[in-house]
Amino acid sequence: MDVSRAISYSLIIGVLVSASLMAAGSAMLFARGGGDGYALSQLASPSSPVNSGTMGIRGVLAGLASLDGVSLIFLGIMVLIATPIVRVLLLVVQFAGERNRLYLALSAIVLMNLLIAILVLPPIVHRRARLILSDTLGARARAGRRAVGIPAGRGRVARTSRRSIFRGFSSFAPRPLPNR
Amino acid sequence: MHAVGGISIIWPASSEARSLNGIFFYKRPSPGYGVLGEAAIAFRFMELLLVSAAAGFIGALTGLGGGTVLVPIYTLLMGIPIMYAVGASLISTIATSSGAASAYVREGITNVRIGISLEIATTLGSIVGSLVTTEIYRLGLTRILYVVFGAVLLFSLYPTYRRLSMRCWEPTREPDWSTRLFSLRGEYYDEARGETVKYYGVRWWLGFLVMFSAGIVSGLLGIGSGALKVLGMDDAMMLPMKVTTTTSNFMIGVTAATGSGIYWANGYIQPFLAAPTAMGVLVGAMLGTRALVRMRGRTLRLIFMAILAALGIEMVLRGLGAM
Repeated sequence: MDVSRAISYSLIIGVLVSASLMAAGSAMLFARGGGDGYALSQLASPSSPVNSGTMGIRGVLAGLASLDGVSLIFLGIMVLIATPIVRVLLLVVQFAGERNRLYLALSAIVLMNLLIAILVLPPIVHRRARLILSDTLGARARAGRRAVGIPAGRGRVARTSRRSIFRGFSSFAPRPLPNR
Repeated sequence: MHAVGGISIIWPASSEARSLNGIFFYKRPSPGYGVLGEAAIAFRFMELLLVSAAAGFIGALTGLGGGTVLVPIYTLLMGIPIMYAVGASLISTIATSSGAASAYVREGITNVRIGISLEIATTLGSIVGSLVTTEIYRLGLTRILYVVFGAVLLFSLYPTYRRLSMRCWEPTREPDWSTRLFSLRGEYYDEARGETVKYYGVRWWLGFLVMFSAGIVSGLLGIGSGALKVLGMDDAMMLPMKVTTTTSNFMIGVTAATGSGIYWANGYIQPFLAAPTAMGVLVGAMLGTRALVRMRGRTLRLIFMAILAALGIEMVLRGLGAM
């Protein structure tokens, strides 16, 4: 009975913490007129370039120091994702305590599936997703250049040369476009 | 300093830079925010909160879940790209599940054993579903998702409709080997009958198969697919409705969390959308659950289900390119 009470409390606390982090993050977005280096209008756009693909766990933790709104929201989402995991973890503990071998094994398999899906697969998927995004971004840039009448070749040369200039002075480099 | 201003100041304003900016930052489908500024964005935020609260309310009232109601509204009526809509929906599903479960577990209706034994199937299904979704987006075949979503929505309405006529639990099958092996037994207090009901479940393997497909649907479409889970437990395993409702609620949170890692890596979770959606659906679902207890008539629920059927048909039509 104790474990199920612990489960209940962990869920309530998890949801409350997560909701308040997301509320605080949204408030910070409005208070500062943006977050993570983007203006509010860019964040709020339906086809916003800012999403979870541009921000990993490290990015979220880095942004928390300055109470960045986007980082706070992402932390809230991470806490939310953690609540079912904690729940399954506590169930494993419960079945271990009951010496129920079958259900200990079953709950351990569920926990393993969860951890594989959250810790192992995302980096693999992300690497592929980034490649695809850079492909589409490149295609968009080429299409845009055509639209303003710049020959594809010239534009590409200009971009590579600018990149190489800034490579040595990363602090002077302009903020890279999202999703690159 | 905002990024747009920042880039134009530091970055030499070559035509290429301007064209890139133009493509990436200013290519917005209708509603544009550039002119109206922060007030319009604040309005949009409130709009997202209210719409998702309404979706959570209707989702709880009909038993379909917030995400199933939300995604059609976001994509068809609010012009949000389907990938961001399903990402926000998946996150809100976790919020609803954990928010409601804290009450259910305490009441002891949830059968955690049955839940966890079937979670093996739903988590595996969710991994498969979210990887398939990744490929579908990569190939640019989002139309398929509209069709599948609409079909699942329409298909979910039948078991949900049937559940509106509350029945007492009457098993039509004897306990089988899976009942004994997985000890699929339990009891709950039924207020309507005023007594404790002892129940058992059968055909665990069939429930497992249905749960696997429920997991695939959940990963594919970013919804809890509670209707499918309930179908697996109600019909395949012959469990009482009260138990399946709460156990399914326990399961959708774990299933959604499984898919969320891959969704995150794919960039489907948009912070400005996910935050108000999760908060709104959470509040709406809580209010909906309360209202459900007090509500006697079925008329309101039937009206909502008719609206959802219309949205489901519209999703299919959108996917087929008819709209």
